[in-house]
Amino acid sequence: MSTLTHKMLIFSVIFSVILLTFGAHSDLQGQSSPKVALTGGKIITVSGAPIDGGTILIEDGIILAVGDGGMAIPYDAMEVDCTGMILAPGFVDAHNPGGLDIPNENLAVAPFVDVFDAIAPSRFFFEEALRNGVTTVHVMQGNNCVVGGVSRVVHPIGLSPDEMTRLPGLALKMSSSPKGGYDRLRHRAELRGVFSEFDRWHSDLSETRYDQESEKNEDLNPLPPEEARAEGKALIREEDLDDRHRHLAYLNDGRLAAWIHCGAATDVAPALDMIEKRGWTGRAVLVLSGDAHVAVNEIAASKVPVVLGADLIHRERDLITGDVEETFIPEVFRKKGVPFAIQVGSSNVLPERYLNYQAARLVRNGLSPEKAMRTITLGAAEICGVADHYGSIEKDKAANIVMWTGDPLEMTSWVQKVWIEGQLAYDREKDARLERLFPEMPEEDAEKSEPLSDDASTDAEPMPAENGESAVDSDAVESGDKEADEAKPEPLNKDKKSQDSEAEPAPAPKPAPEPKPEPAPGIDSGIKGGL
Amino acid sequence: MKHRSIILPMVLLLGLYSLQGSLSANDLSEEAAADSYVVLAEKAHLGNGQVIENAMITVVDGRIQQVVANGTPPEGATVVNVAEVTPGLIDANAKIDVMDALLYPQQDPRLTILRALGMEEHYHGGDVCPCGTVCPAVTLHKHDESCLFCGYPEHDPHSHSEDEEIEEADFMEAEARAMAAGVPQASGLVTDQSSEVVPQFLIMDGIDQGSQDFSRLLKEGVTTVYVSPDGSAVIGSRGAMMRTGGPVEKRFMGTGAIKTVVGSDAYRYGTRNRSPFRGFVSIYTRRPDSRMGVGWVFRRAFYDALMRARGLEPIGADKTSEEASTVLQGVLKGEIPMRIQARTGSDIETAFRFAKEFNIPFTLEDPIEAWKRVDLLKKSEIPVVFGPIFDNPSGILAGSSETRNSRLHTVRDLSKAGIPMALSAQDLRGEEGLARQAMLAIRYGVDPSEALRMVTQYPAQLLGVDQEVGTLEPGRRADMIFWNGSPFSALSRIEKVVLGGEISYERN
Repeated sequence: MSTLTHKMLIFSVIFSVILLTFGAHSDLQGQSSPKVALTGGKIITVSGAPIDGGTILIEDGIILAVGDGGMAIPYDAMEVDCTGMILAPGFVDAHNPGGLDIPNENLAVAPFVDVFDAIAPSRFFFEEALRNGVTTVHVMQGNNCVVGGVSRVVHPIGLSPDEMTRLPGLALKMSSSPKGGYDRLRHRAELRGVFSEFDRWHSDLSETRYDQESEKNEDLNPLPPEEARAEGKALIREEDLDDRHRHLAYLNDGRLAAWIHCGAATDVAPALDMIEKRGWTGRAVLVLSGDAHVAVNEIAASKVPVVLGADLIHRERDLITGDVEETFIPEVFRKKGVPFAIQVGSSNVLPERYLNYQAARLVRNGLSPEKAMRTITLGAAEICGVADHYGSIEKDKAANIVMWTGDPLEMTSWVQKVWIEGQLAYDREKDARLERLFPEMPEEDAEKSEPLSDDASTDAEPMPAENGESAVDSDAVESGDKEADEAKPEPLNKDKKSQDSEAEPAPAPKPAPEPKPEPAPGIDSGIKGGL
Repeated sequence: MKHRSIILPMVLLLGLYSLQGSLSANDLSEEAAADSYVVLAEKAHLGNGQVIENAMITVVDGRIQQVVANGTPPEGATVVNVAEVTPGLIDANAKIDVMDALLYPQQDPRLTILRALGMEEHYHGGDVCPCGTVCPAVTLHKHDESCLFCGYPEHDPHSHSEDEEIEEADFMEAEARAMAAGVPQASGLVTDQSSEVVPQFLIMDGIDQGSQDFSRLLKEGVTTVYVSPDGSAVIGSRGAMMRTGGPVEKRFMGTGAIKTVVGSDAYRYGTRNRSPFRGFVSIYTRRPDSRMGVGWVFRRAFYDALMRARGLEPIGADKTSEEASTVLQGVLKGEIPMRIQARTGSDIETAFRFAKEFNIPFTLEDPIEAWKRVDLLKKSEIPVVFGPIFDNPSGILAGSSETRNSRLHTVRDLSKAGIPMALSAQDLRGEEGLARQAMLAIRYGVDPSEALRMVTQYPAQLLGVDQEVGTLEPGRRADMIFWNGSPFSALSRIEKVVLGGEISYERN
């Protein structure tokens, strides 16, 4: 580790070099993205076997080739040495309203809105996503709706929603669980109402279009309304769609996917029913929360993939016994072979906000590390329908690559660098906010820090306590507090309670240079006397 | 254990007959566990910084008899094979299910007052004001009313943006979930508020010993907790040490330190001194209004104790009760330990100033901004209970304004400065529970073996029970965690938790 001053020196040198070459550099970018070769790192491709000391060649933001150390590197490629590091595909966040200024539209039925209008590029969420290795975010509105807006896939970099967007208009959000303030009856009635109204509008439009065309076109004979409606569907043009119905029409003709939130098991069947009846099969996803996992058999039979809530554990308290039963939800779906993606927590829970930690929890509960890694990369991309661009380190995919200091699933690993479409988007060395929250150790202290003591000793003899407290001290302390002794029903060391300890009063920490006898050094404390 | 005399020969007989020696862990019945068995661990982390590979741990009568490397189990012994083993974890500042406050939140004192006044319909629950304080005003004032408590509109609870309202809805949902799971509520206050000085009270009297919270802790590997009162009184009640499992009547291990507060908790919680109902002054009406007031209450209590020690009777309406003085005299003599909760940098200094004034040794609790005063802590060698590690507060801490300057590196800085400290998760469970706090400590720069000691040996030393628990050394209670991999790795899970030699939690 270098000292701060040393680092600052290096930075200033680098900075001045960058300043000097800034003009040329931006010219270069203007013409075409330079070739980049990431060499020497261990590559977790996700789609195939890991490659030790492999090379990733990137051009124009696309992965040109992935190979082992023997791969030839073009002379014009900028080589980045990744030796000792692990290169993994950027994580895919399958469902997150975090990038929106407000996660839910107030209107219950708002199929005309698009998250585009609410994406706030400066939101801390995107910065945090980058820091945690997420390179692709499916920004979708929250679950509190009847019919919500249209989602899009974005990169966590860029100054405007346009710059960030990679795939607009991915899916329409709906909910089969009651929106806040609604009961189920009203909610379902409104949801059915949306689509029956749409169907009426759509068939009327078809009829009108056929009539219009038949007036212009001699070949088309006027038809009775029934037939005109059937014939006219194909004649509907983009300009015939009004704002209120456009996205519903896209959903109808397959241009949008259907993502339906189910907040309880009872809401799963109506959602699946709607998927089947309205022909969304193959492009529908259920966003689950609450106890919706109980309906796993129905979901498995329908072959609809699911996105699971961040909690991953469902706790249910038995109403009679009061016992709490915990269910690890991903396990429920894994057993039935239902493809699932996991979300990160938006709450304050520190580790749950990291997608890699969420994946580590899958491993902790029995999934293989490879499959857990796949769940938050390629698996999530598949569920979002963007697997041809994202989710693995493969030829022709977007060069969204994260350099880790260790196993991406371990919490001791850090994101060192992130490339998004071949551009360096994040560098831990220059992460000012991380530096503030978690600065590097000043050098003198860092030197003192000892190596891991795992192999320190195989000696069976127990080491003395940290500050050399002797057992005699502890004995003395044990019965030092007479009052506490009276209070405790079960003496801690029955056999050790000796009378001589009465003579020795409780040791106190140093800042109390009182008439009391010699204070014991170190941690000994506080409540020592109390027990 | 009363059947031990019968079971021992039976087990011996069985051992003689079957002689095969090796049983899977599942065969380890409670009776056998109470007797004697051998744990063969690929790696034993003793909790004192030592790691033994291929360790053999002999457990006899619920205590560790010996720990050796490459040992051969005696013939006929019950053998349990595990991957890695650590001592059971110890949380030296646990906030646990205290019946009145946590299980029955509808018994909010504010509701009692409002009921008495026939204003029940104005009660909305113990809301947390967006300003970060527990604001009683939330229960009363409407959009255009000025607040009697906190000077609306500064604390206007209705001025949330829609975004915040949604976050609040999320919060409520999370809270409901937590409640369903038996997690203590953030709004629960566990310290009595009939007076600011109640050191004669014991938190043990309020603890539900059979609470689900204990089994939850046990499941997360925590085998011993020191339940510290919260900071809602300047000089609060005395904490209690408990085992998290085993027979309910044997869980209590002893009474601990008195809890004192120098920060804002003591005047933020509860109602304020400004009388809420125009002259109606109840036991819920609090006295201090600022840190100065808190300081005075603290000093006054000790002055009174000193006066009484000299046979003088203190005067004034706010004099300390005699019972409280008796306890405080014990503190002054160094017989009864004291904890000071001081979160901000200046509060930490205040804690040292107060302690110096009265020459009282103390333990520093929850010093969130300890990173600012590492030098001071290092010099004083005052023991520290730190934690949880967070960047955004949650749980009990969420309502405090003292949490704004937390740093992720605090635990590392304290550790590297050689301040042996206990790490605590307070009221947090699950993914923020104590085991995960140790994981985060490692993530944020603490040596893995030190991180283990922070949740085992150091808290045991701090609590004065290091001869009983905290390490896997001969003579200690056999509190162990069997891990399937490296302890505190995000990828490792707890397979079994052994408490006093008996398997108390087993992953199904």
